[in-house]
Order: sequence, then structure tokens, then C-alpha cells
Amino acid sequence: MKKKILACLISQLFLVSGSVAAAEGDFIEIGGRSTDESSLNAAKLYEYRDLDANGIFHGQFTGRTDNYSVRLRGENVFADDQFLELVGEKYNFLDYRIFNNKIVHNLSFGPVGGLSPWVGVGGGNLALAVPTPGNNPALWGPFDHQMQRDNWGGHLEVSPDSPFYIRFAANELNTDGIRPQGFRSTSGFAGTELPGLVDWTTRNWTVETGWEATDYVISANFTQSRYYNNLFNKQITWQDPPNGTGNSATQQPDNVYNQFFLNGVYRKLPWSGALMGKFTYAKLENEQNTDPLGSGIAASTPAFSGDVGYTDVSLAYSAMPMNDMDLRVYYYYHDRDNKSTPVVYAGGFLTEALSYTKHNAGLQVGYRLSRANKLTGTYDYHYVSRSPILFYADETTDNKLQLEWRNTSLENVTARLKYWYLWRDSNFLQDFALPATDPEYIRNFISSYDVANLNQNVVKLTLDWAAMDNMALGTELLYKYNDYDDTVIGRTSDERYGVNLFANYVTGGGIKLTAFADYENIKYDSNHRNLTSSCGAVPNCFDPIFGGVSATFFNWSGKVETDAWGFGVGLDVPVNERFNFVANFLTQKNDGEVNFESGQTPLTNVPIGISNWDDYTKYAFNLKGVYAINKQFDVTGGWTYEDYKFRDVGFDGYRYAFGSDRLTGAYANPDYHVNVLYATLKYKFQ
Amino acid sequence: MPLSKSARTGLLARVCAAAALVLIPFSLGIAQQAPEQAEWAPCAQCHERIVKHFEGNKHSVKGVKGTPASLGGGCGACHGDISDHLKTGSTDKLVRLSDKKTPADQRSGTCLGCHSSGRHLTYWDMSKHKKNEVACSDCHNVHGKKNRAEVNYYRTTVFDLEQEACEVCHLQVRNQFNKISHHPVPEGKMKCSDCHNPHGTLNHAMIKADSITQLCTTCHADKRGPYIWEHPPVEQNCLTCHQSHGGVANKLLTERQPNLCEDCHDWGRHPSNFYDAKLGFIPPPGFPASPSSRLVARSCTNCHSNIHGSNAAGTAGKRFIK
Repeated sequence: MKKKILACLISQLFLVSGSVAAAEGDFIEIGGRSTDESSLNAAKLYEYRDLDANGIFHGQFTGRTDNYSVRLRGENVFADDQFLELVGEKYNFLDYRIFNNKIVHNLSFGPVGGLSPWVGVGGGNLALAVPTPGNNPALWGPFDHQMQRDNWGGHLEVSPDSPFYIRFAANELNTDGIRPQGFRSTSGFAGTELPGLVDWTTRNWTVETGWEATDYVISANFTQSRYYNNLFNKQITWQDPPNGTGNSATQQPDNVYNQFFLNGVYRKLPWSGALMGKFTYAKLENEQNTDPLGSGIAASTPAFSGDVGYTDVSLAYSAMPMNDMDLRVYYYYHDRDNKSTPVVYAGGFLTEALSYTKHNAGLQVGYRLSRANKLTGTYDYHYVSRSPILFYADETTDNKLQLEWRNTSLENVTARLKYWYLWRDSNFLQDFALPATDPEYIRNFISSYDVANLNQNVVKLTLDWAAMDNMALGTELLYKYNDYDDTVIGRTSDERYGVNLFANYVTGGGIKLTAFADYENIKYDSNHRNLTSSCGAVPNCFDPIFGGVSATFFNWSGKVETDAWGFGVGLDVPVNERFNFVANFLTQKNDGEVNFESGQTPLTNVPIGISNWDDYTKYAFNLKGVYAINKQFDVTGGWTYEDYKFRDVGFDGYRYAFGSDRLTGAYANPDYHVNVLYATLKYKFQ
Repeated sequence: MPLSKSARTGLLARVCAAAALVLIPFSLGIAQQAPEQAEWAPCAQCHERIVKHFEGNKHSVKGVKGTPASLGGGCGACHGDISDHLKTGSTDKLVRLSDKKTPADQRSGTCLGCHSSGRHLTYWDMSKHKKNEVACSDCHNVHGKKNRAEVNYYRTTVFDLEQEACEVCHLQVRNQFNKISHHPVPEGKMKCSDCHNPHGTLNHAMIKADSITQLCTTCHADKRGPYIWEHPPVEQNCLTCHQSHGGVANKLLTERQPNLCEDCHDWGRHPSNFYDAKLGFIPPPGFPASPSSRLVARSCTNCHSNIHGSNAAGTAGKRFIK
């Protein structure tokens, strides 16, 4: 709170006297909004917007003299998505900024999108209501899954009339609310979804100083970020709805992150060259109990010290050896050194503190073949070593070759064709000494796609055509294919292609017409093997290539495909000197599906494909009119209509309790349609 | 909607903001001084709106060292020799910064003549924008000229979106932000430059941190850990599972669960099974209802909520289920 008072006082300090001038664009706008929604769970409509029927208050004022400037902006003042900013400057000496940015993240609204058998929703301890509502959602109580981020911060920079500067910045981000969290309970209830409390604070501060000259820039920076989870004991506790058994689960631990970096550039090098460099060292730490939930599971040590160091070194050289040639050479080193306490739990379960080192180097040469043609070639090498990793790739090497051709032969047309080929070699830690009847044997065939051997081909074509001074057309075509060709179990390939179009036209009378259209198709293919824990009569059952096949041991594959479309068109018409009219229409659509193939023998469980997989359609239509009563006053009126429909196999026919699972309704029934009417009066400082 | 804790405790901040909004304009004097006859006054005869906007930005302040106003020369400080243009209207000798026929390095050169010493341009020489011949005036709007109709879902914010400058070239990114699961950039609550430095960095994609993970945890500090049980892809690259701009799957996931998880996890227990339409709440005709929590609702994270890391003891932590 002290910080907020401080912000207020500082803003008043800069109420400079003397002759000042308000700038074009300064205004105060007040008004109101009426929202008529129809939805069972309108959270998606309100996801990042405070659309409540409420007052509207925006404003901006800029004051300036020959020595000072100050600008105050407010957007959605008093609302859940408020933004405030005060920036000011004493020219050639200092500048400052104070801000507040609130981001509301509505996830799901009760009752159908938030229903709980517990009392104490909004706390870390969820006890069952009495009498126990058990598995009957009719007796559960409604709540909202909602998070609010409230970020206050600012900076002060002093840069006297010299290349020297020093800058201080700080902010505090408070996040609170309720989000869906699901855990397994000790009494065997698998999916138990909870209204999980969010009560987080992140405090950051940074100091930076440096020297800015024409030929070189050098700076040093120290930043500290502290994250606090204000939840007691960093855990959530609850009672199982059917039997009242107590349960608990861990929440995010506190941490402190310190970072120091030095960076700079020197520009007076041969071939008009510039040498750029950066060195960073950062450390992430925390302290925890190895059994925070009091499970009684024996651990090799009672305390865990989180200790992760990051070291980064970047060097780059950019030059023009010839008039028609440009050159870039770079090297980037990134190291994550995890010295956190290793813990061994009863049963031999050993934690794996991941450390890795990356070396990334590359060379890029651009050559102008002619005035209208430029060719750029890039080679990029990326090596990663990891430890300790069990049944994973401890080393991967990516090599990438890229060619880009830029052509401006046609008047007002810029064409860019880019192609790259990337191949990745992985060194999997495999152990074929195990027999194919050992359940561990299958892991020799599982490749995580982020580290699997890969052949990647990407083609991208962009065309920008400034057909006339007042007309622009843009086209972007993309094709990308990832082939994890050596993968037996896991993602075997993914492929995407897309077309994006853009057009803009302005008439002599100032009418603006803007439109876009998008299409994207994405496919993910994967192979799997259905398993149980013991082979029985199936030979080499854990071998997906040569192993036997049965009703329980068989290979299957899944193919996911999504088609997404988007279209938008907007019109901005200055009807006359006083009246401006704006209209736009947008739509988005996604159609997803999953198809399966099964090698089950005999085929007793025929897989049925999924046709509704994140399917949605959204329409929006906006109309707005702005009428200038006089030079000082504008009145604005507008209407918005939105319609959203979502169909997905996971949410259609939603149920709260089934089998051994208990859900809250999170994200269920998000369809909505809404009419928003708004009107504002704007005073303009001229 | 319920009033959040921050909303309840923000009363003073609101009062403060309202007071500042009202008091500052009046303190500064809404009655303004008459602008003195400036070097750019002759230009205003034809380019009134442009000059008016120019007068509202820092370039027109004589007290700021190095501005066109302090150097004298008026519009000619950036546009070169304007004498012919004033006499005859000819644009032959003008340096036209927004004219795409003029090479980008020439157009940027006018700006860099004064701005090259700034630390904000430390890595400009390595930036993709420089390499791709993007000029300063392609993104920076010195004259306040907005030549596009807005095509956006209704937003409660009113100030210009930085995204509008970026999406002119980054059409695919624009499309991603319009998808149903996205960062709140189209709503005006985040900016492209919160994550990227358009003037260049030494990283791929010009991100403002040394790695993707470090960038994301700048805002998502709760995901930092360190955890007793880590999920390796989380510690290496958030983009293994998430899209940075937007997508069709909830939580900006690259693919809907359980498919996303099964692409790596296929060892014993339930990850090796297929979850087909029969396991939804509404099975296809002819099949009994038997929904599986491994497919419906939030799928894998119905149980494995601590997927970014866990501190629970033993296998409950190892499997991120507590």
C-alpha cells in the first residue's frame, strides 16, 4: 500500500508550473456499458476483459515545457483490467515511470463451471460441508475459477548530460484467485479436481548502469526476483468427497532468483564491423522439506536445497566486408548447473537434478546479387549435453542450413523465399542388455520428440505488394515438416501448412478498408504400444518391433489433425467532418479430429475416432460511431455482438462425478453469445 | 463477479489515480500557451495534422538535446532539403522516410544519425529486422498517421496496440493471437515487446532473456522451482509443450492432452492406452457410457496437476500427482 501512496505523491510532485502545452490526443473519456450475455459459463467471454455493465473511464494528459514533460494515462480506471501509467522526464537529466497493470484471467464461472462439495473455497484447507454432500453435485456450492494479476512498478533513470546513465526499476506482482487443480487422493480416488487457491507475490528490483557512446555501449545490470507462495506450508489439503479421508498436495515453492549481466557493443571495427557481447550469471535458490506433506516416506535427507546456476556467454560479430555483402558470426553458450540436493526416497526412487550445457554457433552471409536480388545463407550448429538422464538423450546435435532469397524486381513488390533444413542427431541412452520380457525394455524404443532424431524441412514465402501508395497487400505461405524418422514409439512426424493474407486500402476520402484471411492445417502422427505389466504367453512382449501381439500387447497409432480458419474485415469511414463510423467483422473456426489404428489381436476393442477435438467457432461484429460535438467534445456509441461455440469430446455432456473421479466443472459449457452496448463522452484537450 | 482481494485493497490506488487524472491536467493549465512561430510553421499550411502531431512529440522540444527542434532546420532536419518542395511542391529532393522505394538503410540512416548511440540499439546490427531491411519508420509512427481500420475483437482498452505495428509483417503471429487460447495481447494487456526486443538481441527470435525458460518465468515465477522432482522439458524449453502466441488447445498447449503427453510418455500403466471417443461423457451410439478422466475435462492434468514440478515425497512427486 505504501507504494501506492508513493505513486500518488510522486505524480503530484511533477505538477510543474509555468507555461505548458497539452498534446494532441490528450483526453478524458467517461461513459457506460451494458452487457447482455447468454451463457451457462461466461468465463471465456470475460477471459481477459472486464465487460461488466459498468462505468467506463479512460484518460490521457501530456504536459510539457522546454525542460519537463509528464504524461498520465489511465485505461479502464477502477475496473479489473485497469491500466495506469505516469511517465515523466526532466530533459537531459532523468526520466521516470510508475505503472499499474491489472490482468484479470477468468477461467471458469460457477455453477456449471465451478462447483464444489467443500467449504472454505478460496482457502488452502478444503473441508467437506456438513451434512456431507458426497457425490451429489446438486448439493455442491458454486464458485468462480478466476485469477487476478495486479502489477505495480516503476523506474527512475538518471542520465545527466553525458553518456553515463543509471537506472533503478522495481515492481510487485500480486496474483490471487482460484484455479482448477487435480490430484490423486490416497484413498484411491483418481482425478480429484479442487478449487486451488492462488495467493502469490513476486517482487523484482533491478539496478543498471552504463555508458552510451556512438562507437560503443557498455552496461552492467543486477536483478533480483523473489517469488512468495503465501499459501500456508505451500500445500493444499482436502477431504475426499465420498469418504471424508484427508489428503494433501504440494504447491509451488518460494524462490529467489539473482542475475548479473554485463553487455556491450563496439562498432569501430574493420569492414564497418560491430562486436557485441553479453555475459550473464544467474542463480535460483530455495529451501524445502523433502517430505512436506508428512507422508512418512523415508528420504535420504530431511532438507532439500534448490540451487540452480545459469551461465550465459554470447558473442557476435556483424560486418560488411564488401559493399554487397553482409556477414554475421555468433556463438552462444548456455549452461544450467543444477546443484540441488539429490534425494533418494524409500524404494530407490532417486531424483534427477537436470543439468545441461548448450553450444550454439553460426555463420550468416548475405550477398546482393543485383540491385533487386539478395541471397542469404546461414549455417547454425546447436549442441546440447545433459546429465544425469535415465533413458533419455544425453546429447543432441542440431545442424541447420538456411537459404533465403529476397527479390524486389517487380515494382512495389518484395518477395522473400526462405528454406531451411535441420537435422538432429541424438545419443539415446539405451540398454538392450535387458530381456524383451522386462517392462523396462520398452523404454529403449521411446523417443521424446524434443530430443528425438529429426529431419526438419521448412519453406516460407512472403509477398508484400504496395500496389499503390494507399494500398498494401501481404501474403505469407508456410510449410513445415518434422520427420522423427527413427522414432519407434512416440511422435513420428508433425506437419503444418498455412496461408495468411492481409489487405489494406485507403481511399482519397480517407475511408480505410482492412481485411485478412488465414488458414492453417496441422497434423501430429504418433505410434504407441499397449502394455500390461507381465508378458504371460506373449513372446518378447515389450519389443514393439519383433514382439508378439495379443489383446493386451499390441501397437496402435494416433493421428491428430486440425483445420483452423480465420477471417476479418474492418471499415473506417469519415462520413463527414464530424462523424466517423467504424464497422468490423471477425470469425475464427477450428475443426479437429483424431483417428486411430490398432493392431490388437483379436480386435476386441475397436478404436472409435474422435471428431470433436477442440472444435470451436467464434463470430464477432462491431459497430462504432464517433460524433464530434465541437472541437472539445466527442460522443461515441457502439454495439458489439459475439457468439462462441465449443465442442470437444472431453466436455460434451459434462459430468461432475463418475467412477472414482470428482471434477469441479472447470471449462465446461463455455458457449456464449453477448450483446454489448456502450456510450462515452470524450473531452479533448486541444 | 466476486470482488478480488486486490480489488478490495486497491481503494487508495484508485483514489490516487482519479485524483492524478483530474488534477494534473488542471495544474498544468488547460489554457495553453499559444505556440510560437516555429521553423515548421510553413509546412503546417499544407500538412496541418502531421505538424500538429509532430508538435506533440519529443522531436519538437527545443530543450531536448539533439532533437530536430534544438538543431534548427525544422522539418528539413529529417527530410533534407525542403526548399524546392516549399517553392514548387516538388518532392524530388525530399528524404521520404516512409517511402518504401527508398532503401531501408537510407531511411533508417536518418534516424540512426541521432539515435545510434542509445543502448536500446546495442544489438541492432544483429537484429533480424535490420537483416530483413526493416526501417525505423516501418514501425515507428513519428507523424501519428494511422492508415488502417481496426479489425479486432471488442476490447475494453483504448490505447493503440503495439501489435498492430508488428502484425503488418508477422501475419502468422497475428493469426495465432486470434486463436481461442492466447496471451492477452489483442486485449491490450501485454505487448509484443514484453517478450521481444525488436531492436535486436543476441538470441534467436530476439527474446529479452537468455533462454525461453528464463523469459517465461519472468512473469510465471511460480514455475521456476527448483523442484525436488523436475519435469525435464519444463527446465529446457517451455515451447516443447506450449505455443508462445496462441493456439487452439487450452493453456496454449501445442496439442490437446492426452495426445501431447503420450507423444513422450508411453511406458506401462495408462499412457500406453488409446483414449478414443468411447471414453467421452457421451459415447458413440451403441456403446455404454464409461468416461475416463484420462480423456475428459483437463485430461492428464486432472491428476497430474503439478506437471511443472513437484515436491511431494516418493512416487507421488515423481509422477506429479501431489
